[in-house]
Amino acid sequence: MVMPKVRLVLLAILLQCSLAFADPLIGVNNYTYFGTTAEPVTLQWIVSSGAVGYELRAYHHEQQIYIWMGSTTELTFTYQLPKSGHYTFMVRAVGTGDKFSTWSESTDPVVAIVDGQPRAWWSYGYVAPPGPIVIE
Amino acid sequence: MPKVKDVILTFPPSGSPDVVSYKLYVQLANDPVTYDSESWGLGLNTTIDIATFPGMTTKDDIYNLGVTAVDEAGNESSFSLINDVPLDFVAPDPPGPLSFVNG
Repeated sequence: MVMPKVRLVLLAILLQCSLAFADPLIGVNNYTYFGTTAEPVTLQWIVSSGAVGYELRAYHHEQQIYIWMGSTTELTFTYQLPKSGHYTFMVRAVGTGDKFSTWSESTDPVVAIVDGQPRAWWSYGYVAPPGPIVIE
Repeated sequence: MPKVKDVILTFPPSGSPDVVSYKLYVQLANDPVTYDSESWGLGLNTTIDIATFPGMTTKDDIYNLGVTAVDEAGNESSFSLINDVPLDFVAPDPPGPLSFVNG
């Protein structure tokens, strides 16, 4: 039995997340959350029937690598981006007996949500600047 | 060789996990600091004596200073800025010939 996909929602990205732009790499309607890699991002998704937990991973577009984020039994997950760049996030449900759903991706508008509406999204993390300079 | 006063610059580190160095930018105060301004690599040092930097000993004016964080991919952060900083690393000329006047 294939487990249903879970819907991904970005709950809070503690960044400047008011901007959006179209990126030809992954489609013209993707929403982009901007921020620095100093602040964590929090993902939220809707419960999957039969799930006993969830696993999360991210795809770093510049380096073209998947990054294991972790697992949880909750419906939210907070994560600090390890490096600057564009990220797509993915979550899958874990069932009993080592069964897994397919990955639900933030760039899939069928399962991704922005402001309550179906929409593909990804995020870009900048390098955070140093703190205020002091001259002694 | 003249002796110039220490000017200690310090800043809290970036919160990003992959920072490999910092850069200091110096620009005359009439213009904003940009990524094309004169710059020095700081390594991971967040407290530095800028009087020791090559080329600083010619500076005697008001400057805008900026510091950025650089990650392992070479990306730079936005600036942490401090404006209108007086820097004077030009030591005065030494006194003239010293002679013995009276015995």
